[in-house]
Amino acid sequence: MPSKATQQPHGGEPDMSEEVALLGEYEYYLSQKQELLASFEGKVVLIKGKEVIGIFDTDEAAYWEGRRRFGNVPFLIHHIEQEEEVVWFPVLEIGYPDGSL
Amino acid sequence: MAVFSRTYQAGPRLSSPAYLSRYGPVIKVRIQVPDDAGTLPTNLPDSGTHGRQGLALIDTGAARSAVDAGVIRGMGVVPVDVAMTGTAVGSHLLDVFPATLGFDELGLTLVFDKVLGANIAAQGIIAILGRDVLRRMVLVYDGVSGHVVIAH
Repeated sequence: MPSKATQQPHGGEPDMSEEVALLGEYEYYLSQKQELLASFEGKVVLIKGKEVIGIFDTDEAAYWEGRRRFGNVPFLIHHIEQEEEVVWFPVLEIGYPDGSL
Repeated sequence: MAVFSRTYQAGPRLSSPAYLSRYGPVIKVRIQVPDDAGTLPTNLPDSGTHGRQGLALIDTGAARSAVDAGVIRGMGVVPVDVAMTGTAVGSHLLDVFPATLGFDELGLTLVFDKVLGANIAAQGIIAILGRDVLRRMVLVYDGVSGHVVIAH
């Protein structure tokens, strides 16, 4: 389960039922977060598996290094920040009638 | 300035205002593989210029935009980050993808370094336009007449 850094504002545990391809990389990031913050706060980290591949100034630079080294496979590009962003995303129960206009 | 203007069509038992109130404002969208896809080492089954077409819901309640995770994965795009999303019933960790969204009715193409991947296709939509996109636009929601105007 995620560390305290990923606790959501509503008090309960996050729902991890959906498939998340980068869960392993993210958990590794959280395990290394304090160490990364000490030296690289505000930067972007590239992680593959349980390895920090590099630290970059931009998402784009990290992306191209990941693509160059690993190709078209999942790898984590994450901003090193004290607070993990929680994106407000309301639950949808819409059900468009025919999926077209 | 490009303008999208639509009165949502009423069905036989639903007026335009009721239709818009029930389903919300939507616009046609085309999800495409990011521009560098031509260099990918894998065969991308749906990497053509047309991409996957469907509906995007304009959602002022969503901080960030999203695409359907199954659709974007099916196009051969792999995730590059994760994001914790808060909802009314708890929180979810979601994969985040690079994606290009095209809006032919607006003459607009948006390139996202990172867009949320959520399971929304069952709702009849393949994308959600959140406030990260709306901050660049003018949105007029006329609930009285069932009419929406978007300008950018």
